[in-house]
Amino acid sequence: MSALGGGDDVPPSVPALRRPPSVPTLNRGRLDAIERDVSREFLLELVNLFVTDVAVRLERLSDAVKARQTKRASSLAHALQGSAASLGVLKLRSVAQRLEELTETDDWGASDATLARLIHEFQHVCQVLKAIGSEPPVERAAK
Amino acid sequence: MTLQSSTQDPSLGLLPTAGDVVAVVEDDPTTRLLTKSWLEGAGYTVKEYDSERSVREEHGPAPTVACVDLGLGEQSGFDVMSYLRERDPELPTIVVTAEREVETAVAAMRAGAYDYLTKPVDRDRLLHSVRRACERRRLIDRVKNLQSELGTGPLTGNVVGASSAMVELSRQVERVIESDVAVCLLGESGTGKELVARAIHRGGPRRAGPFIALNCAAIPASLQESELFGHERGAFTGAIQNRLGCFERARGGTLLLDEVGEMSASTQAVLLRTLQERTVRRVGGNQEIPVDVRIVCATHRDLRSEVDAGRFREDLYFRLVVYPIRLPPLRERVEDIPLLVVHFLEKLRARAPHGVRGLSAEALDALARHAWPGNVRELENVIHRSVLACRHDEIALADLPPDLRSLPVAPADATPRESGEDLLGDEDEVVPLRELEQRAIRKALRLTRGSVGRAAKLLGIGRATLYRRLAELDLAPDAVGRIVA
Repeated sequence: MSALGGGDDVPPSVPALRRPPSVPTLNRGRLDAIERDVSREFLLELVNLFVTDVAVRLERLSDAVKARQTKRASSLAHALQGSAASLGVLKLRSVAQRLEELTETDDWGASDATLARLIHEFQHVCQVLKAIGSEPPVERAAK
Repeated sequence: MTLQSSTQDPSLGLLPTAGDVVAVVEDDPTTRLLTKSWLEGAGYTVKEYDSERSVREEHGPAPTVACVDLGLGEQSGFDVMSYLRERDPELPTIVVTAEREVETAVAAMRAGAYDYLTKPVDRDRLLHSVRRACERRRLIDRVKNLQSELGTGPLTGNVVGASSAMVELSRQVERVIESDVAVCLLGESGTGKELVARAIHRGGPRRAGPFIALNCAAIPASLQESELFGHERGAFTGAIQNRLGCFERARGGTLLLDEVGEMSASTQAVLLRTLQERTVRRVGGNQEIPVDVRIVCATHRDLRSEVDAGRFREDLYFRLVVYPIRLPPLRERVEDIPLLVVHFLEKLRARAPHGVRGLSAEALDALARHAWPGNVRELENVIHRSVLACRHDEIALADLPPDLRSLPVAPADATPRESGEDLLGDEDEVVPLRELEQRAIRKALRLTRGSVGRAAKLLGIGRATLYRRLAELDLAPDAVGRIVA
């Protein structure tokens, strides 16, 4: 499978300043390894679980940022980046990590902007992950 | 940790065994599902928990190993860790932390975690860590089982071992413990003669009395009588006051005469009289003082040979050696090495805290190959040195003293001929079968540095058979050390 990148098309309302360094959207190697180690069906189940779970987490995170709840916001951002790391969703992880740092220092202006970027990145990731289901299966290593 | 070679005990093998249960405590469902899938794929049974609360609500059997995410939302993974360890102090816990939280991982290790993994967790690293943790768990359980099996015998405490030789020793001690029969402990230096003597004292009816040990080899011949029987003031130059001897100090208790074979001829004569009369007369004194003492003697020498050589009184020999008990050298019970290692690590930890939890499989194999001329005492010293050298939580081969590291591994398929020694002699020479057998045994022991188990394997016979053949061929067990030296 070819490595997928992209996701850099940020909406104009989001400031470009203090953006996390450019990283690929996905670590395809990790996703492929999961598929190889377990199965395509499992990978898709995992992806579905991730999308559903992150959608809920993002809502909670948005509420916490809007309410300027430092501890809750940074904790939710931290959890979200851990979840993204597990699946190899690199860019989402990177933005969540940035948001965690910003909320920890009560930099709410930048936090609002980064939250918007996080939501945008999540929407992009959903599209990319959705496409996996229609790709040919990964070749399994001979046992 | 693998403390024992898997060739000796399949229960300590490298693959997951049926019944290995891994508790995964992780609040992130994606990570939890992934971890579960990897572990189940490797043959483990997984119990999932998404919070500290769900862990506390579990009342089923304890898992073999736990994987705990330290960043459990707003709860602390440390709380879960301490709760789990409270329930099961021996539970190996693998903690999972974010990449940037190395300090947290270090704190968790200090708090007793077995290992740590950083997110995103790597599958191979996870399975490797869990496998090792399960091995460690099985070893701890095995040691505990063996200890509890031994716990009912007389040799509890510092006399450690579960081998057949030690079980037999325990039986023999049990036979003499309640009586006052004169016991003679025969064994090489470092086999634990004094510990067994103490066990005999502790387990017998004289346990409330004193236990006095005198090492006859450490006392100059001129002072032996004074040490044993005491002296009166002015009895000799320097005797400025009356002094009680060991017999009087041991009154009502047990007197261990260690290295009794080193006793001078004149002291032997006085000792014999004392045992016959059950009274002592202090040096320079003229009063007979009754003493009621149980005598246990110990020696590394063959006392019978000493009698034959005229160096030890035969009448005293019969007085002292009513019930001889042989203490096996360590090379005859290498299967006890894991138990002894755990025992010494715990003993050292009680004296000075250290972070060493065990021994690698390679290090253990090296210990099993060594001939241990200094026996258990030598092993204790090696473990002490290795703990000081060890910079991790497991003693590695590199932490062992150099002479143990370099012991050659006997190839499993080696035969005496392949290794270059012509057992059959010259072409015209016919070597008697008995001699041939002796040569083969000597060679196998030399190749394996005295490891009877490995030598037996090379020879294609059982361990017990090799011991029997050693005896039949007049290669007494204590000669093994010389063969391999």
